[in-house]
Amino acid sequence: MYQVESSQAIFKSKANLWKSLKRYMGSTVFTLGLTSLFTDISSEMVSTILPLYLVLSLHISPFQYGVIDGLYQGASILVRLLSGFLSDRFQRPKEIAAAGYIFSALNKIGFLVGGTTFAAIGALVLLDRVGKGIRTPSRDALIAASSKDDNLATSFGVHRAMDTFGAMAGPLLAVFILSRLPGAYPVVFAVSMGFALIGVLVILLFVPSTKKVKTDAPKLGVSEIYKLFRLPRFGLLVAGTSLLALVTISDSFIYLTLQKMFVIPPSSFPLLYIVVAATFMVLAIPLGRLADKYGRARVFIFGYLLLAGIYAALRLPVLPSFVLPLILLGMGLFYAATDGVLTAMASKLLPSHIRATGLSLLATGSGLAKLISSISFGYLWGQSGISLAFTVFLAGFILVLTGFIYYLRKK
Amino acid sequence: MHPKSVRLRIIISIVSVLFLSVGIYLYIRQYLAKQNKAVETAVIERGERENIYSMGEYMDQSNTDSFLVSLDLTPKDNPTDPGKPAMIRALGSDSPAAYLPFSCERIHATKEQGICIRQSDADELATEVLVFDAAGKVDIVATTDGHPNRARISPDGKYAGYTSFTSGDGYDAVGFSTRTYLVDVENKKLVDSLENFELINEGKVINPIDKNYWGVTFYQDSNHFLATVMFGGIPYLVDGNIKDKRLTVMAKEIECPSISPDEKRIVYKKRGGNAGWQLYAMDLKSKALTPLAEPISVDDQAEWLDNENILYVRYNATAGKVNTMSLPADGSGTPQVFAENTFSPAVIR
Repeated sequence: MYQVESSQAIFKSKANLWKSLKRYMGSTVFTLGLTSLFTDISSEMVSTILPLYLVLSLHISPFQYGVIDGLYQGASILVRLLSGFLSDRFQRPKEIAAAGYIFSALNKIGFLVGGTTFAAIGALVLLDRVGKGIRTPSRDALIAASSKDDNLATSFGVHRAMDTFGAMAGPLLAVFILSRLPGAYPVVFAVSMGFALIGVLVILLFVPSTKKVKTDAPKLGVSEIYKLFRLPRFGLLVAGTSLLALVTISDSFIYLTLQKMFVIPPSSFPLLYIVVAATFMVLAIPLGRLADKYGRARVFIFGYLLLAGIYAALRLPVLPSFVLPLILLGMGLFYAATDGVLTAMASKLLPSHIRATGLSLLATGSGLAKLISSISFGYLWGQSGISLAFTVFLAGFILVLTGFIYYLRKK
Repeated sequence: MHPKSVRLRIIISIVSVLFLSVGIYLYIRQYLAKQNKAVETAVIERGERENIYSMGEYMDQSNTDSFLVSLDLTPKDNPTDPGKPAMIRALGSDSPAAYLPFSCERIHATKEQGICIRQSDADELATEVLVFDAAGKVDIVATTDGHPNRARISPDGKYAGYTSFTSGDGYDAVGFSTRTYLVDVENKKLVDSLENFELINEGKVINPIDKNYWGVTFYQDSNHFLATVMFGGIPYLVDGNIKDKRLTVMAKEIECPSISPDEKRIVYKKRGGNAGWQLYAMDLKSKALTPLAEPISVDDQAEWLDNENILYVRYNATAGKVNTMSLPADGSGTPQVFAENTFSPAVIR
């Protein structure tokens, strides 16, 4: 959901950064970065307050929230099918990317104008996620096309850096607005819409149309899926990853639980996301080094055991207040220890010609699983309360994790 | 959409950004204006009631000195109302009651000013705190977390205290948690949450994790107040001092105290055996306890009618009625219905 790219790309290219930065002002990479910056400020502003807005202001039930959250996570499935198709048909990455950004801007306008019924919110969330999914491969292709081979990593690094800055600045802006004007969610939507529109402006006016560029969007047709599952261990990995995603509780539920338990004022809610993201960024490299030294599988399992501990703690009705920062740090640590490890494991199993498609399948599998997971969690919460929901998921989690550990030990 | 020159594009973008900023600024202005108006207009929009007065207007045109400010529970047609309509009536007189121009979940007032807390429109889990004066000016002091529960203003109108349930929906609920704030009524801002006050028990400063405060009641010297604190599952009476920001535990098993006008006694509720509460009066000097003659459980903070009698709310589930009852504070007599369909009584003497 609120995903901040790991800082690795940035740090790798740090040496060239300043020199290249001066060269980049005015370049396509920079303007694309600006678009991403503004768009991320816009969307992360909204996504970090959406749980509160939906539950506290619109009073939707936990189950309904589960559906929305599931849509948020699982819309990627829809996108994968669409974007592969689109990029092949049109081969005009700038227009496709612009369309994606426009969708997201429309989404913000939608929230402002009519986002008060459950169906409307669901549609808006889909619009936003589909827009994001459409533009990402095209945008990446544009960045690649605008860089020479030797500064490709730098280009992406710069872009990710601007992305990340926007993703941090957005929630902070939301905190600022809500602390000055309690309950003023429409104001947050209005400001967010402004930023989204500026982002669209930048890409429409300042990014040149490139001639036909092939985007790398993997096509996920039936024959591809069949080929992938023929690979010996890959199918098992997809199944395992999806199973794990099925029993993982979405971040936003955890934050909602934390908000209730520690009486966090709505205006400080986005800070939860920021703290976890910042922890993740800081710890990503050290954990990566640890993984290289002691084995990826070990670090991976450690991360998931940590998460299990957090779930167990959240089953309790009351926790002392010092536990809150511990939980947030724990979540950041979890992401640092596990994010990218699955992708790395999968990459090892996939031959290069089919790698992108394979990773796409992996992401689709977990997207679908997260959709089901959020809906189920929301349902359980609504029917039987938070504690039971956590208990059920914890039980499933331990089961799947045990299976995973057993499987990894066998290797 | 591709004008050739870069300069033109820059101009277009600057102009667009300007337009956007102005538009958003105007939107925010309009939104804020709507919020402020909400207090006055949404209030009078409620129902088609004609006789709406400010406190001062009503008091001026009646010939008594004592009034009852309360909340009206007569079923109305407005389900979106964030509270119950506030009312004022003259005591000991035949004049009809009138409405005050706002609605609340809990109200308390003196002759010159009052406090009204209600559920925030924008945020179901927030409490909106209003202070109003006799002239009818209403100000939003703050919006804080939790569902509004209790409110008291001091006799001199300088300070007020209110409590919200931040989790759980009753004193018996598991995981129940409250937040109590003190309000500087004159300056229309919050003083602080009682959670940030120093708590002293048996001479030592303590800070239990599970402490919860509620039920503030003020002395004539509004710097001095009483309240309830609960920790370790037991409620205690605390004596508070606003200037020193200190609370001192005084006695056990006393909840929702209310100080008599002559400051000689308090009336409070005490947990009984049947998950209910029994009303008691305590003489502040002798500490003598007297159970009051109400056999039904009372979950309310009592309000003194005069130095002899108290008012409190009785919920009659079977009749579907909520009435304000009066009762002598010396253990004698029987509960009498004082005002029907009335809630949150505040006596103005």
